Amino acid sequence: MAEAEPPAPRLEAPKEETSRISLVWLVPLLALLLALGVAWRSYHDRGPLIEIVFRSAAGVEAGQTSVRFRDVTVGTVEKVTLSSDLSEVVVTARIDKSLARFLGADAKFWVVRPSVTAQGVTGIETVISGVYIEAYWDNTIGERVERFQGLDRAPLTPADQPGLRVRLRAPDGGSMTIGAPVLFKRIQVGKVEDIQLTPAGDVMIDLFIGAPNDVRLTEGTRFWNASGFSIQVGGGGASLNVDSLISLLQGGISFDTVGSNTAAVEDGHTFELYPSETAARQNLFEDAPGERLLLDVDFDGSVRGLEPGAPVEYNGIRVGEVSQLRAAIVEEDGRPPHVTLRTTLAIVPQRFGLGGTETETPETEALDFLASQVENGLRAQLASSGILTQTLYVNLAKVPDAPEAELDRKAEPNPRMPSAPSDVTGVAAATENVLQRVAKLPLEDVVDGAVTLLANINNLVTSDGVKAAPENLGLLLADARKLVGQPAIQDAPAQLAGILASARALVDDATQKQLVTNLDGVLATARTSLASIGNAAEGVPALLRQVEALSAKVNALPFDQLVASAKGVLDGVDAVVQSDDVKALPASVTASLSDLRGVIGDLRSGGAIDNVNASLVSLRQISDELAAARLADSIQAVVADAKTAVASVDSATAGLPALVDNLNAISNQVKSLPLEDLVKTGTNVLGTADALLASEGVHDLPANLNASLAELRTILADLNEGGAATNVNNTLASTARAADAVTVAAEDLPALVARFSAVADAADAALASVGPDSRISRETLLLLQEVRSTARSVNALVSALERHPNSVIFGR
Amino acid sequence: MVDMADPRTRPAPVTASGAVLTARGEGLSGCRTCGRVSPAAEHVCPRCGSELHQRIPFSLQRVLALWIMGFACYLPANILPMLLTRTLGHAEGNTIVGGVIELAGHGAWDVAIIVFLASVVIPVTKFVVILYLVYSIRYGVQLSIHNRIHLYEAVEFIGRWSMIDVFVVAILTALVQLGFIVSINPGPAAIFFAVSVAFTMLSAQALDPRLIWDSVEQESTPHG
Repeated sequence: MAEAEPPAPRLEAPKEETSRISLVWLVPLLALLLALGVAWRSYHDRGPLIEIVFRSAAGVEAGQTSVRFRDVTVGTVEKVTLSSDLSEVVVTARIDKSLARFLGADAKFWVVRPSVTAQGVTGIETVISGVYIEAYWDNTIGERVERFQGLDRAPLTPADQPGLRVRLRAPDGGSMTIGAPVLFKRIQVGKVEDIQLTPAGDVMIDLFIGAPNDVRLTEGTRFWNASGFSIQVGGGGASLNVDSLISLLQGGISFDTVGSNTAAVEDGHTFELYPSETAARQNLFEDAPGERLLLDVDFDGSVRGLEPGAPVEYNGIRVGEVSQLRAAIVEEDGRPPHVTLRTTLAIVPQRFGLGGTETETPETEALDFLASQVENGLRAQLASSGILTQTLYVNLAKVPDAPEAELDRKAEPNPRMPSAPSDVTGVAAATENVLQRVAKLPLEDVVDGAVTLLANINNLVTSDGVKAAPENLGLLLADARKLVGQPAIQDAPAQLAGILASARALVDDATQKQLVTNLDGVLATARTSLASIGNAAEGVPALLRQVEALSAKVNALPFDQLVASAKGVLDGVDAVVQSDDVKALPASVTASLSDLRGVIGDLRSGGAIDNVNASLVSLRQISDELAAARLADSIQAVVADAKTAVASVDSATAGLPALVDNLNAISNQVKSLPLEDLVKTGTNVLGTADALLASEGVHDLPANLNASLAELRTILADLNEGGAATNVNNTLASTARAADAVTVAAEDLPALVARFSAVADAADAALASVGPDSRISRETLLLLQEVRSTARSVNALVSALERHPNSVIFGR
Repeated sequence: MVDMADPRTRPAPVTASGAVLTARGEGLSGCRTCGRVSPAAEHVCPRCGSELHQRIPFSLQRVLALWIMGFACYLPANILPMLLTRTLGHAEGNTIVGGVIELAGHGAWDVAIIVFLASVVIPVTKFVVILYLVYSIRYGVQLSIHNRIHLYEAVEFIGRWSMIDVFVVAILTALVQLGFIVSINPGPAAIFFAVSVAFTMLSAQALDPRLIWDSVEQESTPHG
């Protein structure tokens, strides 16, 4: 190194160091500024603190538990304290500033915890990561709220999920649970969100139906409880109906559109919940709530069996139901006050097809309609829905011969409709009569008689004579064979022909003879009659005397006038008879007769006779069968009756002389009658008759008669042309076939009865199989027990998980 | 003050005038990188291209500024959690001292001692030593320059081992990532600690050890 160089030229440097400040101080200065900036920024950017009040904050930890919005962490719990009255937990959380401005009163907070339900496991991730607070609020900037009430459980559906929220009103909870499915055609489309009791005692069930299925809800939609299962035993056998296994465990609700009203419903619409599908489908009033026409009807007599809710039918269509039954005291003109049964009917006008016009409401329109119908005889009537049941319904029907009445529109509280006596009691009485008569039938006597008959037949068959009969028959047959073998028998046909000829001759003869015999009988009768008359004639002289006296009296009468009147009458009649129209009468009658003959001829030529013959043959078969059914006895009885009748006639004839005596007495009385007056009256009558005959109408009578006959002829001709005969023919043929069919049917009857018996046996067996000890009920019981034990197991699992959620991971 | 019997503390060679022979005294400046001595007029080492100073300018100010930065970072490094451990979703933060206590509580005394030495004893010692050296240069102390040089070398050597805690955090973070069951992430203290160590190392580097000798020269010059 160069040692000659000038020394220490930089010795002053350390002095500069101490007097000046190095740029390096900028480094801590910058750091300080940076720290301050970060501190200020983080203070400025931190969000607001909010307080959420929970009933329980199990698992919520300060500094650990996050607040999430749509599963994105938007804040952290900073403090967990108790409220001043120690009844609630106040969770203080800091929310991100960017989102905090949307916090409004609508914000909802709930703690997400693991839960195991019949529908699945939710929040399982919180078993490991710990609970978190889920929040939901909308995107509108609202007034700042700093204290919120936390929900006890998560809302089942997000607030912004499209769909409809409706309410159901039910008489009871029906094993419904929150989260239970809402089914449409057995597909889940919604959930039960809440179940509450109203102050009135009803149960309000909140439902959510998600889009797009919410359009299925209309005014005509009915909801029914689909919880559990139903067993139906009917003609088609037994059927077990389960909507879904979930609904078996936690209840469920089904709905369908039943009514005709398809107007869309709005959020918050309230429906009724029916206990069963049948009830839902039968009820009408969901269609038009508030638009019912109330009518009062007074029924005389008992309304037992009529209940509120019973149907009101019009021509078989259900138009309403009975809404109320009560007694009312009625005062009518001229009658003492009496109690009637006042029934209030609720009518749905829409069921008449009345929808209301611009000027009228459906109620008034329906009232007008009913009023007009009442004038035509429409009445309210009680009717029985079955012969054996006591259930009644109200039938609006036209009653013929109903006394006049009208719809009393001014009646209070409701318009009053007239009623007609019901035929319910009549039906019941008739049924009772029939049963009584059946009970009175001497069935025992018949059976006794049959038993005796069988015993007698038995005796007869077992008698020695009958036992010997076969042997005798054998001998007889041998003799017969011998006889047949003789040549004389060979000639028998020829003889037979001869015999037949003789028989014919004999019959001819007999015909004549019969005539003679009849004539003989007639003569004999006449003789008897004459004899009777002879007896009676003994009283004749007296009678004649009486007649004589009568004649004398009659003689004194002013017959001239009478005769003159009679002559006038006769003249009038003569004039009528001589008129051309009357002359034309015979011709018309003749023509009619010829037409009739033509018809008959057609009938004959059309084979009607054959058909009649066939019918007769069939009839004979029937009658044979009938005869077998002891017709003969009846006929015998008839004959006996006839005999009795004849005897009566005989005894009546014996009373003839007495009759003559009576006549005599009558003649005496006639004699004493004021005949003058009678004749005078007769004269008057004849005069009137004369006048009648002279009137123009009588002259026209023959013409009318003529015209009538002409028309008759025309009709007959038409019949002739129109093939009436053929029709009659066909009809008769049909009758023959029908008769044959009846015969055949009669043969089938036993088979039918056998089948009935078989059906009854089968029905018996079917009913027996659903009895308490049967297989199906045993299996149903087993099924129920298994379902119950399954439910119990699920229950145990749920409670175990609730107590030790970690056991999912770590085991016990 | 010079112990003539100890060869390590034997006085440096002296000039003809009897003063201690130093590069600066001879108008030279030594390169701190390669050791070559160049004329003081040279500002760049002709051999290795490093910057040449006879003494590092504003050395003490630099040391102090960086020391302050390092110390400022060391405070949050001890207050904030070093490790964020999530065990089954349950997050837990451990500070350095907390971690040491926990390790000791588990019976891992050896590991606890190592971590404690690396993370607490060594950095604190470094802060103290650097501060002491600065004070001694500025105001002069009784400790011999040889001891002070040894202190300085020890600080420079051991300073890098302070990072052992940061290495542990890095290794654990890389290894223990088992999702839900357990996962370890570096806490904010890790960054502060690393920055603090970096600043203390820079601070130690900024200290020009020749200043220690200068004070001796200034002391000895009036004597010599």
